[in-house]
Amino acid sequence: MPSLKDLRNRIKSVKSTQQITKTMKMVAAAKVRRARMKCEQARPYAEKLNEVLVGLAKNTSNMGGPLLLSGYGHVETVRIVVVSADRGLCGGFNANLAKEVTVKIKELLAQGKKVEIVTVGKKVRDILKADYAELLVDHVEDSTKNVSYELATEIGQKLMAAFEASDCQEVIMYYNKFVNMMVQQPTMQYLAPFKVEDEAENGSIAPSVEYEPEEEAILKVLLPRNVNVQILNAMLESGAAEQAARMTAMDSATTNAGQMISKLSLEYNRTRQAAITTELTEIVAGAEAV
Amino acid sequence: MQFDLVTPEKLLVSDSATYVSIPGSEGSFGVLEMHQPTLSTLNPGKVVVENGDKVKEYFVSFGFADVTGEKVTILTEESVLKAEINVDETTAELAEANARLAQLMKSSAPEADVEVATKKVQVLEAKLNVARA
Repeated sequence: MPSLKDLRNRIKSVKSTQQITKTMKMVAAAKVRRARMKCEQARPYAEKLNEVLVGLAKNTSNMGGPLLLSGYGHVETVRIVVVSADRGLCGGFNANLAKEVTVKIKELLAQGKKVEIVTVGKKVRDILKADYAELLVDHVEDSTKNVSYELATEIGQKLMAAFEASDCQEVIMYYNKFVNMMVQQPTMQYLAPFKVEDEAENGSIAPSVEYEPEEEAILKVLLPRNVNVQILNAMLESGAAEQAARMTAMDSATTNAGQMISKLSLEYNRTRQAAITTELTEIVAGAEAV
Repeated sequence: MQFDLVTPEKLLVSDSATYVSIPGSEGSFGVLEMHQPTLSTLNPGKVVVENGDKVKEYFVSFGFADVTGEKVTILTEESVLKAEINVDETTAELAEANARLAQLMKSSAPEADVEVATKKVQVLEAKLNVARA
C-alpha cells in the first residue's frame, strides 16, 4: 500500500506529463495546418509536370527515349529512399514505415538484388541501422525543419547521378502519405526509371503540340526535375503526416494521463479516509478506556 | 486567355492575359489567344504578361511553358516580380556564384558540379539583367 505522500507525488508527476502532452498536441495541431497548406500549394506544379510528362512519354515510348524513361532493362541494385521524421513521439509513424521498408528489403535481397538505402530524417535510419547498417549509403541531415525545393533538388541530383552512372538501376522512395488527420499511409513510389501510369489512356488525344526543342531534349530536362518535385512532394506529405500522427498520439497520451490521474486521486482519497477513520476509532477507543 | 505561373512551392499567379512573352530556350516568343499548342523549355529571363493595358513583368529561372490555345502555364523553379528583385542581394549572390564556379573549374571538380554552378551563374545574371532592363 503506497503512502499518502507517494500517491501525492505520483499525481503531481502525471499531471505535469499531461500538461506537456497537451501542449505538444496543440503545437502539432498548429503545425499540421501549416504543413498541409504547403502541401496544397505544391500540388499544382507536380500535377502539371506529371501531365506534361505522361503526354511526352507516350509520344516517345516507341523510340526508347532517354535513360530515365527507358531504364536499364535489368536491375541489379535498387536504391531506396526513405523519408521519415527527425523526431519520435508520434505513435507508429516511423515504425510503420520502417516495417514496410524492411519487407521490401527482404524481398529484394531474396531475389538476389543489391539494396542501397538513403535516409531522409533520422528516425527510420536509427531503426534500420539495427539490421541493415551496411546497406545505408547516404543520409540527409536536418531535413524536416526546412523543407525546400533546393533541398529536394540536392537529394534528387545525387540520386540521378548515381542512376546515370549505373551505380543503381532502379530508385524507389518510401514515405508516409497524409490521408487524413487519423491515417498516415506508408507509400512506395518509383523515382527512376519514370513509370507512366496508364490511367490517362482514356484522356483525349493530345492535339498536335509543337515541341521546342524536340521531345527528347525536353524529356531530358524534365525527367530529373520531376524526380526533384516528387521528392519535395514526399517530404511535404511526410511532414504533414508526421504532425498529424503526433497530434493523435499526444491526444491519446493526454487522455490516458487524465484517466490515470482520476484513478490515482480515487486511491489517494480512499487512503486518506481510511487513515482518518483509523485515527477516529483510536481516539474513541482511547476515550472509552479512560 | 488564362495565365498560370507555378513554382514547386506554390502557384504564384493565376490570372487572365491578352498577351504573354516567354523566354524560350530556342528564342523568345509571344503568345496571343489561339496560339498553336506548344511546349517549350525556358531559359532564365523575363516573362511579360499583358492584360489589356496592364503590364506585369516577372523574372523566371529554368523551367518550361505549356501553351494551348486558351491557356498558358509556366512552370519554373524560381520566379519573382521584376519590381521585387533585390539588386544588391542578387549582385552579391552572383559574385559568390562566380567565385565558386572559378574555384570548381580550377580544382577540376566533377562535371556535374561545374554544370550546377554554371547554371546558377546564368540564372543570377539573367535576374540582374531583368532587374536593370
